[in-house]
Amino acid sequence: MLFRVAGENSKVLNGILKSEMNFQGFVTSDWTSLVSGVNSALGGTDMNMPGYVVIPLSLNLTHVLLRFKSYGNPPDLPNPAESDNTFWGKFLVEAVVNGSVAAERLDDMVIRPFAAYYKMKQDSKSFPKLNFDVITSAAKRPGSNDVTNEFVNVQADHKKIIREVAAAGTVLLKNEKKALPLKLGKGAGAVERLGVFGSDAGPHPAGPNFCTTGLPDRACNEGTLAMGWGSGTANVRSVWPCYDSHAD
Amino acid sequence: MIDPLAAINSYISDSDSGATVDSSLNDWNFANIDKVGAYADACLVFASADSGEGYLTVDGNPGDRKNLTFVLFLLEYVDLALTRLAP
Repeated sequence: MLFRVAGENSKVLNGILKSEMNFQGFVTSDWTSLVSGVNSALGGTDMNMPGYVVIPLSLNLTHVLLRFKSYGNPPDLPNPAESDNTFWGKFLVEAVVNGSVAAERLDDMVIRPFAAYYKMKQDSKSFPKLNFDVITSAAKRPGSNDVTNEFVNVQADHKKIIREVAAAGTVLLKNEKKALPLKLGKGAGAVERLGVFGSDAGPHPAGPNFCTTGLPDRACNEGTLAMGWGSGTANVRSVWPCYDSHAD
Repeated sequence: MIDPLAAINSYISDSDSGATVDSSLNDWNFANIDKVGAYADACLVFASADSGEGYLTVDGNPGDRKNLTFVLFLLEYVDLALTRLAP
């Protein structure tokens, strides 16, 4: 954006987002998206996801190695402030100590995520416990007796807003000869036999959460397209009581 | 998740209109598309253009789309289905 990567783009993050739009939340990087320490902190990024770090292979830095590292992987230290497997960690501490990043900016980077934490009442005892394991979608990790996924249904009445968004997002480009809405029944201009075409109209041959090719994360376009493919995919319930679909 | 065909079937069976639904879900079975299209009073054609994240390649598309193949296919497909509507 504007000739600078998003994570260190002060004009966009500090200027437009946090000043003009008065955004009070926090800005987090995508995985492997931070490309610097000081510039990203000054540019407006508040939180860093796992990513690459630069490992010098020669003293004059003519040869460097980009290696994927994340907190939780070795070499790891109990205290994140001492960690050297990220652009921040101990390097952010150093940047604040030597004045490259103001202490006020560090405070801001801490306050913003914690403001969101308290806004969502995550300090409340009634806030649901973490119920997710990035390693597996099963209830337990292989070889473990600890249940990490209790498959809590968090759908509530979200289908109402999903329905509303879908309707609001539908664009009717043209309606020649007033073809829509369809008039069902017999007689002139009525539809007695309706034809429905296309794999997008039907069920998924391998189930809604899988591809017939066996590829992960919805890397296919089979059946009704609910979401694109990639690491952000979530599983839908594959079995739905018939009466629910009649409700609308 | 409810697919459109299931929802349409449900809606029409609840409507007491006497209308019936026929479907042709295989995108490449043109003989069947022709057959169903020939006797349908109205045709609803569903198509999609998918994309995703770069670590997975689908039909030669590494995340971002490299072309508009599905969209072009959709237009041809819509034309094909719509021509069957002509009396």
